[in-house]
Amino acid sequence: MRFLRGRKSRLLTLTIVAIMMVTLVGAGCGKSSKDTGVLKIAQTYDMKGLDPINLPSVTESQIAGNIYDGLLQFEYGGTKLQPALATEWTISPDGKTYTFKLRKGVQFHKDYGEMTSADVKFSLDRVRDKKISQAASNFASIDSIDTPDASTVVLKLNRTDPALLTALAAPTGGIVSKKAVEKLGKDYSINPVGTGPFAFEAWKANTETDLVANKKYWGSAPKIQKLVFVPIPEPTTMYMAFEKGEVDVIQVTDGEHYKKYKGDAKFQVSEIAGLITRMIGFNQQIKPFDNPKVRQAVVMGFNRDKVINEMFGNISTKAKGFLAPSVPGYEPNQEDPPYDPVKAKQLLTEAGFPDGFKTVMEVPNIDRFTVPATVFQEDMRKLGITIEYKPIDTATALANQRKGSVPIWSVSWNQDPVPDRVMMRFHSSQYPGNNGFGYKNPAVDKLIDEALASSDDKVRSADFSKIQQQIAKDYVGIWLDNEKYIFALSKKVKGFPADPRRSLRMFPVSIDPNAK
Amino acid sequence: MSVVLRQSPVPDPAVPGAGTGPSAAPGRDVLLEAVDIKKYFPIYGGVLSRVVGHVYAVDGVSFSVQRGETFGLVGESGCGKTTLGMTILGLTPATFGKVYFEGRDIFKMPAGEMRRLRGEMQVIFQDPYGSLDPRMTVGEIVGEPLSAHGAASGARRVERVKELLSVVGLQPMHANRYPHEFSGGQRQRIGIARALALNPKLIICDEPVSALDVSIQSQILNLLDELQDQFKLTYVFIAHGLHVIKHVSDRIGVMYLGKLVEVAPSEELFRAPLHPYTEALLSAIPVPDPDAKRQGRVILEGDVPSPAKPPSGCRFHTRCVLATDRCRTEEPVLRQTGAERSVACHLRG
Amino acid sequence: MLQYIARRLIQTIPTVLLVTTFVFLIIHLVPGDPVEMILGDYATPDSIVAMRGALGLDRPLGTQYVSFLTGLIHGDLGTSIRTQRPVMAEIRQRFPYSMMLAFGAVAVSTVLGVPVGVLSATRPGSWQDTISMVGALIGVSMPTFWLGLMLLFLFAMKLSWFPVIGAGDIGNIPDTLQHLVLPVLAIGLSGMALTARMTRSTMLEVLGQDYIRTARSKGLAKTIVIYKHALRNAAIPVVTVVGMNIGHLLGGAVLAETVFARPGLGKMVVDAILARDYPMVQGAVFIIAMVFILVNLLVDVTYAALDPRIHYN
Ligand SMILES: Nc1ncnc2c1ncn2[C@@H]1O[C@H](COP(=O)(O)OP(=O)(O)O)[C@@H](O)[C@H]1O
Ligand code: SF4
Ligand SMILES: [Mg+2]
Repeated sequence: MRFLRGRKSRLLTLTIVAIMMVTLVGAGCGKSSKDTGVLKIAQTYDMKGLDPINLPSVTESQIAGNIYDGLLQFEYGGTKLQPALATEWTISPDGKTYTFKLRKGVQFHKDYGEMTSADVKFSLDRVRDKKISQAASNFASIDSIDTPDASTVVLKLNRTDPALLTALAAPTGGIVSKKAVEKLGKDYSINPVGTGPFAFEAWKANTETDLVANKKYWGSAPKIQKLVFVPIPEPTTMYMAFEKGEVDVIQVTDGEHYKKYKGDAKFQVSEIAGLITRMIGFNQQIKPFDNPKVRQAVVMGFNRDKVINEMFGNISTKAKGFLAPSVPGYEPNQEDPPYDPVKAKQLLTEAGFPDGFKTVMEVPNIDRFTVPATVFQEDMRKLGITIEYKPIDTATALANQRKGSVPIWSVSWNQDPVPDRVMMRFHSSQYPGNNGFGYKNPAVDKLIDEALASSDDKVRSADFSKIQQQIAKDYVGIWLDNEKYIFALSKKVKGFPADPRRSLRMFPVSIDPNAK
Repeated sequence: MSVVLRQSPVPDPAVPGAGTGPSAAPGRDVLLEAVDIKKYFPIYGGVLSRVVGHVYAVDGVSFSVQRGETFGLVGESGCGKTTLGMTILGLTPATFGKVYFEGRDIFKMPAGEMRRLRGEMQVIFQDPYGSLDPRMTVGEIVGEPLSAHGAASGARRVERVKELLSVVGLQPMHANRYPHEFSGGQRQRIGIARALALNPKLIICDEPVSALDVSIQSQILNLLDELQDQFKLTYVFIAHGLHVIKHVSDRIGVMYLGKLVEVAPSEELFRAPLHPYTEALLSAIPVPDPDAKRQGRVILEGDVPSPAKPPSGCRFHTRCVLATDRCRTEEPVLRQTGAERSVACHLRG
Repeated sequence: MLQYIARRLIQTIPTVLLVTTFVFLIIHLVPGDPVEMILGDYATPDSIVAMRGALGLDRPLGTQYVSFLTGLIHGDLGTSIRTQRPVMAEIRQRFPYSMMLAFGAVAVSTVLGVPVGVLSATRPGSWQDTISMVGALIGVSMPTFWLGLMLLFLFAMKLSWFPVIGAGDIGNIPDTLQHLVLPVLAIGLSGMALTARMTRSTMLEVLGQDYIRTARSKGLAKTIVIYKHALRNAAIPVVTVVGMNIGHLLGGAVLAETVFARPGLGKMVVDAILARDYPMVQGAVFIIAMVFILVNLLVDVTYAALDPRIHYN
């Protein structure tokens, strides 16, 4: 290269060489999570703040679940309720007064002192404040909160609310330090203070969120020194980072990697059916979906197995009904129409659409919705139904669905371990809004009202069964599948079970530095 | 890049001073001798950019220039004058041929020595607008050769630049200005100052006034004349019309399509042109004296043929009123017809 | 010149105003509601109303716009709906990373693109020229996203020269550089290709100019002729391309930040748009517009510095 002979060019060559040397030397001291005390966990998004009143997505809830304790907690890896900051609780016979006895001597992180009933009242009053809390609707049944003494909290409800205990166990029910919130103000969300097994240490935007073991944790001490949550938006990158050992825990969301990691002894896979249902809904207020035969035809004309087995590679299980099977109150005995395109065509003819019809479908522009949607579109085409298919951004999709402006839509519902909030989505009063189906059945309305007001488990489960069976009969939507929560772990991670709420609580997890 | 030679090359061009050059007379002080210079530019074509032909811009030109004289080189636009000049200076690599400067074969010189020699062989370009680097001040343009050749630097360079500027009739303060701030004539003066910077022995003046207003042309010509006396310069003076070089040249070479067709002392050429092309060029000069018409005007007709496809035989035959069959097939060589005259025509000389 | 810069800066005010107004309108007019997004699946009508009120989103659009402008004049970009933190703080956290990426990519595209273009131009038709220009063609047409993943696969996974994710520890220079190399290449390569092509064509043009022959006739070394005379004259189109590269980069940055899991403004804006986080989008667009305008100004000032024939009065 003759042109590189000049003095300037030599300088350039030197600079390039210098940069390369610096970076290569740096490569030697590159950080990896080989340390025994550090666990690196990949997440898709960066966390947006860790204040229980504003945990915008599962990302924040997963982190917050390690920082905060609620009055109650879910059993590790499951959905059963257990004592946490409350050691015991009683519910009055009318179901409207809850009395909690608090655990004594629990310390907040960073020397914010002992947790008392004042902190609990403060936390719950905040989270039920509709003006500031995104989770307020979960706590809407609370009328007032009394603190007769430092270790007693009494919740007075305006109605019975069997879902309340679950809400108290979720990350949004986390107890914050009153002192810390008042002192830190707007900065609290990036300097959260709880009583959980890990204390918040640092957040670097779009880089990492660090938690450290809480030495003063009231339960058994966490085995890991440090948790690092790393946002990795691109799945391909996440898989590479995982395989290279830059992160230890990832969630697997495609069939290909699911198969790969299951068959590779270098990795572990932990999976569980999630509290989630993916569906394609129709708006009955828009013709021709007012016609039950049309709805039945559409349901029966869609080959769900093809999507689940061929397109997704078995990272989900076929759904029967709109509730995830692990939600208490789930009714297995309900109609589950099989794939039968011949019958579907016949139904369409009976409904007066022998040549099909034209309609519109809007889905969030994300693979998990566009993949089933394209199969659906193709299956419908075989029935003569022409679907104008529009993948659009999630915010718009959600807004249009709530407005009731779109005939066919697709979403996933994350569910609580109680069915109440899901049931409300079929209530006629929720259209337009959460009831995107435009479903209006007075009988179902009555059952929902009764079940949600009752604190009698027998009444509730009977009503829930009837509701599910009726909705199946009315062909309200296509209940496609329940996604599995699949986590891949490096070999050194011990004691992490995937859980149906997709939480990433790490206090019993340990690292085996010798595992290869 | 290999070049397909159209004619079989002469094995080794003549050595200097051997008298084989057309105008080299023994006993003269030869400064520059060009021997059988050829310059072919490849023509690329097709999707793969292959060489599909050549422009035979200069095709076997030999001449010599004596110290102190002005050798005029004349010919229509596109006949290869500039290419010949650039090739002689080594600014364009020659396809074939040799150039001797003070007896040294400049094409065989190592790059460093060649660069040093550039101080002695300078050039003034035709286009005073394009030939000055627009990003440099006049001081830098004129002074750059001084520092590049280690002739002067720092304050001495500044001094020398001022001196050169005043020699060519510019103000010392002009050193800090940029070329775009000057008129065409002034720019040509800057170009001359630059050429003079290293005290050259030879300057090739490539149509130095053809881009200038007629009113300014004579000023520059006079300047060049004065400088020649003052610095004992040797000029190769290129022009596309005879009228410009009539008064400045001692001897004149006439070029047509890459070849010299006639060489003669200036007066003789004007008095008694031999080559039909020379005659044609002479007739193109507006003549105030009607008597000059006595020989009848020879008007050039037709276009100049493309140097990529020169005519067979005598290259001029497509336009020559005297052309015969022989002219179309056999190429006339440049023959010596007198002590200092030579011509390339089957019928003349 | 200073006067010119001052005038140009004043002239930016209407531009910025126009851009921010446009963005304000667009983001508010597209369907989707930040509160519905925050409250998620189970938003109830009264919780939506309450939160809209608390965030001031129930006010007329005009009022919201005026309060946005008022804030802007006081240097306050507002509070993110999504994070409830000042937009300025959110931007400040990511700005250095975006700048590093941008400067790195411009540096790479210039430092590598210019010599490649010069090499090509000084020997047109040679094999070096052919390779460079075919390479440039590929470079220009290679999607950043794909290129990023390929670089990761080759240099991070297979060769282990560089880490896969993150931006490194900003206080640790080798670590930061090491994390910067692949993303910078991913977005710098197409810029480099553009720069190389532009350098080649302008250099070819310039090398054919008479003043280059003049420079050679002075007996200057070839490199001096090429770099001092030719490149300086070819610089203006090249600087233009470098300036354009910076615009290109903003698009590439979003992809690079996504592929390499790096913090940055690009991804922040996209996320904010998806979440309909109005103040965040407005604030970030404002800052990006400012950077853009400053870069353009810098390009124009550079013109004057490079070419004595250009004067700004
Ligand atoms: N670099 C080049 N590449 C190809 N052809 C050239 C080049 N330079 C000159 N020529 C051609 O060579 C011929 C002679 O040109 P030139 O020497 O400039 O003529 P003149 O100076 O007598 O007008 C012309 O046909 C011209 O087009
Ligand atoms: S050789 Fe023939 S064609 Fe050529 S100039 Fe002489 S007469 Fe004319
Ligand atoms: Mg010429």
